Amino acid sequence: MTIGEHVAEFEGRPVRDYDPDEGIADPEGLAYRLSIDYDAGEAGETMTGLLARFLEDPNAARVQAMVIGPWEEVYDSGNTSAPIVEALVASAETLAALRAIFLGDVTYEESEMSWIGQSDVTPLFDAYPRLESFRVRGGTGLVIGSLKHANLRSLAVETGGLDAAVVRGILSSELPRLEHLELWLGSENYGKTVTAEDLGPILRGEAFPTLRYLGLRNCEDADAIAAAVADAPILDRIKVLDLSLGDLTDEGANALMGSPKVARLDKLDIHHHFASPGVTLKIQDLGIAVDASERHEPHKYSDEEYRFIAVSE
Amino acid sequence: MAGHRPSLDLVVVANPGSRRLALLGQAMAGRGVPAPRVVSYEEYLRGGVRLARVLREGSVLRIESPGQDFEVERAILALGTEDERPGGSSLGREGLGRLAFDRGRILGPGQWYAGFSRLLRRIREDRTDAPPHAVMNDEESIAMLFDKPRCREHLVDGGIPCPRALGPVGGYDELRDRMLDARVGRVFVKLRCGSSASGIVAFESSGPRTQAFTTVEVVEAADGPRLYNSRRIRRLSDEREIARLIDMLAADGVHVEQWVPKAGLEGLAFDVRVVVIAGRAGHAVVRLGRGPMTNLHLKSRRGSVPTLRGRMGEPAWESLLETCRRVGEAFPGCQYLGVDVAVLPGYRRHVIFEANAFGDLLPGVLDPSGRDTYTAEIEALAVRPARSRP
Repeated sequence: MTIGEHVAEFEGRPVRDYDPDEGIADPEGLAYRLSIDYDAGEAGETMTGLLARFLEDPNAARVQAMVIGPWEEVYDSGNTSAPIVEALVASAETLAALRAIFLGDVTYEESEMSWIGQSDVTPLFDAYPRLESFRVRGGTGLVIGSLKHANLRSLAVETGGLDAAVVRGILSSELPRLEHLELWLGSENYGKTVTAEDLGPILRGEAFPTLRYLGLRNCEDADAIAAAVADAPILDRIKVLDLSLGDLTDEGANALMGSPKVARLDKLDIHHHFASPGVTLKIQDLGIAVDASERHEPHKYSDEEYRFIAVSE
Repeated sequence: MAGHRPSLDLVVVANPGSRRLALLGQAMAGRGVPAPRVVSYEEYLRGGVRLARVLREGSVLRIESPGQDFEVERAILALGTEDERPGGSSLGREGLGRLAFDRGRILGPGQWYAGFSRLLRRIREDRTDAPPHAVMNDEESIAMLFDKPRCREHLVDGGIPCPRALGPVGGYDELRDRMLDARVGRVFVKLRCGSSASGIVAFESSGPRTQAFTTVEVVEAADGPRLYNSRRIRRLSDEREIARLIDMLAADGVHVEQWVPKAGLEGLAFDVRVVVIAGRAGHAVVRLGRGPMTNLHLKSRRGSVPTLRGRMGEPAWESLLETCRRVGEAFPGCQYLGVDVAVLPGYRRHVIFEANAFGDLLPGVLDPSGRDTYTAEIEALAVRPARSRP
C-alpha cells in the first residue's frame, strides 16, 4: 500500500488534472488526468461523464497521453473500469492522436491496489492501433488477451497480486516493437498465481525481440525470480533489469552478482530490498549502474521474520 | 520588551515531570517569565489542593493533558464510576484498586471520559470563588473537544468542512447496515472519547470483501478479552475478527465517519497538524504515513511544509490555514488548539478530521517568527490576555 501519490509525469509529459472549465490547453505537451475525486463522487459525477466532456473539447483530437485516475467509488471493486474501457474504445476516432494511456492512477488512500476493479482491457489495443504505451494499475478483474499490436513499445501492469492468466495473455502476444515490459507480480495474499515457470517464455528470450527493459517488480519470493533470471538468455537482449519493490535478500542478490550476464547490463534496479549491508555494498560495485536504495530490515514477530514487498501490508 | 520583565502568574494543572510541562517551562524561561506554578493532577484529584486558594488576582490557568500517568488515569477512572452510563466496559472501585499499569491498554474510555468531565466540572466550580483570573483553554471547550461527535457537529454547524459522519453504531452489524444505507464503502471507526490516536480502525468493505487496518490489538485474558493500542498497524481481513474488534470498541461508544482519501507527498499519504494560537495559524507540520492513520505519532515521519505549499499553491494553502483559524474561532474558550487537516488528492480541498485541546505538543516546530508553540502562547498572553473568567 505504498503508492500514496498520483503520478506527476507520464511518458515524459507533466500530468495536469483535466478541468472542464479550463479545457485542454496543451494537448501535446501535457498528459491529461481525468479523475473523479471525493467531492465529485459525492456529487454523483462519473468518469464516463467526465470523459464525455473531455471528448467535446476541440483539442481532444490532439491529446497524446491520458491518465485515468480514480473513478467514482473506486474502492468498490464492483465498480470496475469496464464502462471506462468501453467509452475509450468508442472514442478512438475522436482521440486520434492518443499514444499513451495509464488506466488507474489510484493511490492507496483512494483504493488499495487489489481493490481496484479492473476489467478486460484487450479491446483498447484493437481500438488504438497507434498506441505506444499502456500502463494499468490493479490486478483484480484484469484481463489481457493475446494481443497483436504493431506499435506498442511499453506495457506495464501494476498489481498487488498478478494472475497467471494475464501473464499467459501477454506472453502469447505479438508485440514486435515492445521495449519495456513491467510486471508487478505481487503477493499470494493479494491474488498472485504467477510463478517463475510462467515467465519461462520471456526469460528464455522467446518473446519480444526488441525488449530493452524487463521489470519483475513488487515481487514476493523475489529470490526465486532473481535465481531464475540471473542466467536467463533474455539478459543478452535487455539493458535494464528491474527487480525493485520486492523482498530480495542476500540469496537473490548473490545469484545476480554471480552472473556474468548481469554484469553486462546497463542497469540493475533492486531498490526496496532486504539484503544485508555488506551484500548491498558489494552489489553496488558490480561495475554497472545499480540502484540498491531503500534497504529494509525484516520485521520480527514472535521469532518469525517478515519481509514486506512494497504493495502489501 | 528589553528591560521589562513581563509579569505572568501561570498556574498549570499538569503531571509534574511531563514533557509538556518541561517544554512549557523552557519557553517561559526563554521569555524571562517566572516559572509556572504547578498543581499536580494527582494531588488535585486527591483533594489536597484548592484552585480557589492557588489562583491570585490576574493569574492565568492552564489545564494540561492528564495523560501518561497511570495513577492519574486510575483516579480519573474512579471519578467516572460515579456516573450512570449505559453499557461499555466499566471498572468498579475495587477492580481499579487492583489494576496494575499495563502499557497500551485501553481502559474504559467511556468511563474515563465521564471521570474527566467530572474533573473538569470540579475545576470549574473550584475556581468560581477565586479572585479574577484568566483561563487559557476552558473546561467546557476541553470537554467538547474530547467528545468527537459533539466536536464535529459543532464544527459543521460553524460551516467547517468535515468528513461525513455515519452516527453512532452499536456494533459491527449496525455499522455494515449504516454503510450500505449511506453508500459509503470506507470508514474510520474511532472511540467516541478516545485521544486522537487511540482505538482507531480504518474499515472498508466491497461486496463480500472486508478489510480493516488498526493499531488496536485484542488480547485474551483470564477476565475476558482486552484491548490494547499497539505501535504497529495490522491488517485484518477475517470478517469475524473485524466484527469482534468493532463490537468491543462500539460497546465503549464509537464515532464513525467517512474515510476521505488523503493526498500524497513524497510518495506517502499525509495530513497536516496546524496549531492555532490566539487566532493565528502559525505552526504547521506535515505528517507522512504508510497506512491510513497518518495522525499516529508512532511511525509517521515529517514531510516538508514548503514542498506541500508549493504543491498546493498559495491560495489553497491560505484557504487551509483560514479553515484552521475558523476552527479556533469556533472555540473562543481556547487560546490554543491543534487542528488535524486532510488535504484531498488534487491538493485543492481539505477537511478537518480532528481538533485537539492539547494539540500544541510539536517540539521543534517554529512559526514564521521563529517561536515554538509554547513561546507563541506565552507571548500571546502578554499581548491579549486569555479570556477572563466570566
